[in-house]
Amino acid sequence: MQDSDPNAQLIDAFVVPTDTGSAVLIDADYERLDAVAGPFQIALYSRLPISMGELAVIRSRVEADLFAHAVRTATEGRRWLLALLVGLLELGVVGVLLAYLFLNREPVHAVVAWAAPLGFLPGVLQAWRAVARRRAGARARATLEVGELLATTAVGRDGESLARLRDLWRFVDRPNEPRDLMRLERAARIRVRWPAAARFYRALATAPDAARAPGRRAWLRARTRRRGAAPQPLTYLETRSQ
Amino acid sequence: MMNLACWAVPLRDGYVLRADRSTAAILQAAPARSPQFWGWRIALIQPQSQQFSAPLAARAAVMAVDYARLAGGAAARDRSRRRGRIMLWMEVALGLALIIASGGHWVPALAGAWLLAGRRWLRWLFGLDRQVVQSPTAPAQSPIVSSDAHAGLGRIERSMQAVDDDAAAYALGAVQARAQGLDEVAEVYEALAGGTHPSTLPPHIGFWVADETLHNPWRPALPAPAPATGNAG
Repeated sequence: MQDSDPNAQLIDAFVVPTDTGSAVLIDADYERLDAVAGPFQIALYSRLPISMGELAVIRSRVEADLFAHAVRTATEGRRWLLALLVGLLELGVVGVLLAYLFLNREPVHAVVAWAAPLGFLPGVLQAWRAVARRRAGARARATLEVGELLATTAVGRDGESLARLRDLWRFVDRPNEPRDLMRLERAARIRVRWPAAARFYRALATAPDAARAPGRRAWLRARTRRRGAAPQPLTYLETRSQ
Repeated sequence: MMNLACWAVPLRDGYVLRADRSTAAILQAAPARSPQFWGWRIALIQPQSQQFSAPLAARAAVMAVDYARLAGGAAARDRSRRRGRIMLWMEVALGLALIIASGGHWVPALAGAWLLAGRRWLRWLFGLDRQVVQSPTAPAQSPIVSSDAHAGLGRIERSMQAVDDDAAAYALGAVQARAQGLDEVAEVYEALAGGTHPSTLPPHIGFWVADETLHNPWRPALPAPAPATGNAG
């Protein structure tokens, strides 16, 4: 591992404690990474030694997740002005239709008025999505065009991130402290104020296979989760150690 | 270049090379990427034992990755496409209902025509639903293969050495690999614990390479062909 590339867009990877060991949490918002500004690089925050093979697996999984997300997002927000125009036309059509139904009140029109949103809402939502996601789409297209994940891993040096990770481990290191996922979730949410870690523990607690897995390093049981309804993805790669 | 990982799973007499599961996803995204990144940088994940030979395993690693590329197939159909089809049928039904109920008046007929064809035609005309341009890929540069030691794999190899019986050792390896979350490794050991010889492993499980000490250096490091299943007569 080495210092980060000065132009690199850092993807933070944290080795965090779990109920049976430790796990790698990738706390990155892929839609904020700008491939034009520089290549991507993983910045690792860990107090445990990580072998080169483990780093290579993390890198490969992050690359898969990053570019799969870019492919999914690349079509969004393209030609958003034209999409907005189509959306406005859609609103015009539905407006004229509702005015007509209102002015010519008949029992059958009530049915049409109630059913109209089912037909017209998707078009309006498409237009809204194209406008709202135009930056995310542009960044995803840039990722596909010029994005590259560097083959080297940097040592994470961000003070705030280091402090959060240290506080989380300090909680685990306290004697007589039971180490279960929901306690860790609570610690991450209230003591450390780290929402990504709190979501990570909640997801781990609800994942049946992860809960069943015994200790040692369950390296890289890769899962990709989205942050609820928010557009940013929370990607984490789980690993366990003794 | 694309960062790919390939497992070198230690056996009694060699290694089984198997591409990591992320490989399929990386190679599925590759056609949408710029051709300048179509090279493969393969990290051979190995247990750091004395007998491991990276040059010998390199060719099998490229084969394992290439197999993942060819066997990857189309991406699974996602839910959004199914949801889109339901919405389409709803629009068509409402559009037809509006045209039939219009009674010759132009306003509901226009709304019906918009739902039936107008919106879709405009979106097609403006190219709003066009997918990302994808071109068929093949590695543009020769693959770079490096080897990296994996601590977990090393522990599994050491614990297997203490067991004399081959099948029992592979069963132990499978249990340990599952415990560590190394699912690809566990699948290899499970197949071997079931009595399969490494040379007859199916390619989706992996490609066998014998130890350098056991391997004839004049023979290429290719897996042995699978036995014929049909009766000759």
